[in-house]
Amino acid sequence: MKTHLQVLSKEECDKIHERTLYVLSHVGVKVDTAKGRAFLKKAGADVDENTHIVKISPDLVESSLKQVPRDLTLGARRSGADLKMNNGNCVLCMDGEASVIIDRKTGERRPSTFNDWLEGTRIGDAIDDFGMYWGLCEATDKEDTVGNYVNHLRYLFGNFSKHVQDPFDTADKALWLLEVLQVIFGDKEAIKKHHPFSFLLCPQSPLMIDEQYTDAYLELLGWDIPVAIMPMMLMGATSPGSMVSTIVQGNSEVMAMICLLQAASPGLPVLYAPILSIMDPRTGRLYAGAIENSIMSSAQVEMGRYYGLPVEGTAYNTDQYEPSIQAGYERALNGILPTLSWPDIMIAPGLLGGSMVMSLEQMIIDIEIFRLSKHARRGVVTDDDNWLEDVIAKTGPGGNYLMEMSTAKAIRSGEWYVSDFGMHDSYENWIAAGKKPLMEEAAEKVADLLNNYEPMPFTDDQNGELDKIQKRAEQNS
Amino acid sequence: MSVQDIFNAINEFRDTEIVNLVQAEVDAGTDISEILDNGLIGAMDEVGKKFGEGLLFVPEMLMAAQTMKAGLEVIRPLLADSDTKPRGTVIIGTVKGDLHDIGKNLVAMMLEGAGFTIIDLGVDVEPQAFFDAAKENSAELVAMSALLTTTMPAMEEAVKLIKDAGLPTKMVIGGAPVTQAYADKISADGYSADAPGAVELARSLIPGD
Ligand code: B1M
Repeated sequence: MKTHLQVLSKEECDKIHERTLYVLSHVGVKVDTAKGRAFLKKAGADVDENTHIVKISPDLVESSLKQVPRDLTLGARRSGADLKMNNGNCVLCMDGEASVIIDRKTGERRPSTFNDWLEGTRIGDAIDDFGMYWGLCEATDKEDTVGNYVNHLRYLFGNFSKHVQDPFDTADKALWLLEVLQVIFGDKEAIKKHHPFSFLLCPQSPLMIDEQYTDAYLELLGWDIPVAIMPMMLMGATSPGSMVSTIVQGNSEVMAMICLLQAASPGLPVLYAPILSIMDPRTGRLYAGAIENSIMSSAQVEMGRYYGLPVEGTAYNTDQYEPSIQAGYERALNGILPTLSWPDIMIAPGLLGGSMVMSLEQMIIDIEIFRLSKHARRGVVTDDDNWLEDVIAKTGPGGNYLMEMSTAKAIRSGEWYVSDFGMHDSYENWIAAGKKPLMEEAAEKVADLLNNYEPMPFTDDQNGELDKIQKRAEQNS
Repeated sequence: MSVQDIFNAINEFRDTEIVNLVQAEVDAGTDISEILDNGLIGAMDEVGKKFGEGLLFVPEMLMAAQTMKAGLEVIRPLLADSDTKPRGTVIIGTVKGDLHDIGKNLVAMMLEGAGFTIIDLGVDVEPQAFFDAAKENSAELVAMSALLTTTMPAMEEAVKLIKDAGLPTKMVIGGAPVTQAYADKISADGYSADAPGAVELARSLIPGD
């Protein structure tokens, strides 16, 4: 059977759901967007316009949950790259929005730039394990103008042909996004049908929904753009000091946002994506490398599955600022548990130091951890082909299995994970090959992908249309 | 009963007892500055020291600060009459466009615990609001927090507003993406990487009596 990890029983999930209903109906959520409050009020929630506290009845939660589509495919530009949710697959998504990078050529730690973002995006497109985009870093050398936003979208879709999740921060960007999407993916109906783009909304813990980002998203209403709902709490600081209550609070925040979104647009696709993290009690900071994060990530996947929702899970984090032994063990441990829980999408390789520092070499290492974790999940396969007592009988005591067809077949068919990364040779060969450090190997992989990978080009017509949009956006900047 | 009991209550986070302990000292005629310096603030200095040595965790330190604050409330009306002054006024907030407030709250709570008067402007604070609050309150210090690279420039604006107007207020900054180099670049008076560091910084910039 497959390796199985379970951190919550069915009864515990029921209890978390019940406590969530209690929190939403008795404590409520502070909803700072007036538009959001109006939608919730219309749906029957109890809204206090003075305090912005919205109390949501169990019935409203249940009926909103029912409206969320379980059958969802996130579209892509490249054929064959669509992501069908709840379909037994798990793909990677790059981590998002570092502000510094470890320069791959000099090793220097410096602010991240547009070119770093572009390199990360291209590598994400080149590696098949990635199914979805989130911007690895900020382009700190670019100003925040609509002209630059349109330019960003052009480079993004021109260099990443799988599904794109890319939130923006102000409502004025929505129309530009929709124009660009139509040039690349077709008219409104096509976009509504294929969902080539999704958004990310982060309720603020504890129990708040903000105005700026939520209103920016609400500009896209009517286009059926899926939303990943991603509150990020720190256990002990912005959520209670226990894992189960942190799960309850995260679940409450997601449910509140589901109610708001379903009231605004019944049937809108959402992804269950809370990031449940823990505070470092010594400093109050994000304790990125803590094992509790991965246990709660697994719980998060289980809660999403409990509701039958598509799940965006989280793994691979570390407190360390550079690829290192500590980063290695923290990421491996934080990677394997949530991978065993098997979300539809798994963020987030590529960032270190609590998701502040980008490293393309680390991203290559993380992919190896993902592949190993996936293999761990494969478990002990007991198909008929794998019961080899006839081969045992044939070989007999004292023989060996090296020249058995069953051995050769098994190596080729996934019974082995044969890594093409890292050192797996004899000491002599390792010395003879120059004792290449892992980081050097990762850097070579990065350089090789960047030199040789060709992203999917736009057609001339698309380029012409995008030129026009960009010109107008620049005039508006 | 003694000032030592106040000191101990804070170190043991006994916030329900502190009010009575401080009141008893006041009633006994103990000097207010003795209660403040050796009881309340002295205890928080000890807590700060233990925290610095890794012997206390953040929640414990904050509970101690809360206990200290409850005790401080008892003597606050008497402070104006005594020679004792609070350590100074700090305006704090998360800058325009930024909603991250966990770090800012932590810094505020620790500064308060260390005896500073805190005026917390919350999140998404305009540079002008920092200026106005600093001016109105004759604040010794403005502490700004930013967690997004896109919101860091708002710190520069606030520093410029206050410096250009010639206010004596010192400007300090922090937050995950902020660095000492950035503080130097925007001519801020100081930077700290964490909340205990912010207390040290405030102490160094606002010399006590
Ligand atoms: C003298 O004055 C001083 C001195 C010291 C000071 C100081 C002031 N202020 C702080 N300090 C210092 O002392 C404190 C204690 O020791 C420390 O404070 P910190 O604030 O650093 O530490 C806190 C105690 C704990 N840390 C935190 O609270 C931040 C943790 C992370 C995970 C984080 C969280 C929790 C959140 N987030 Co946000 N978030 C991240 C963070 C990743 C990270 N590694 O920091 C970061 C900062 N977020 C990010 C992003 C992108 C975003 N977030 C957003 C939203 C949120 C939540 C609301 C979900 C939540 C905040 C909840 C809240 N109430 O604050 C969005 C922005 C919202 C907005 N307008 O502000 C959004 C844009 C996401 C989106 N697309 O919607 C990234 C910033 C990237 C960048 N390049 O700028 C980020 C690094 C994570 C990531 N890689 O994606 C020190 O820095």
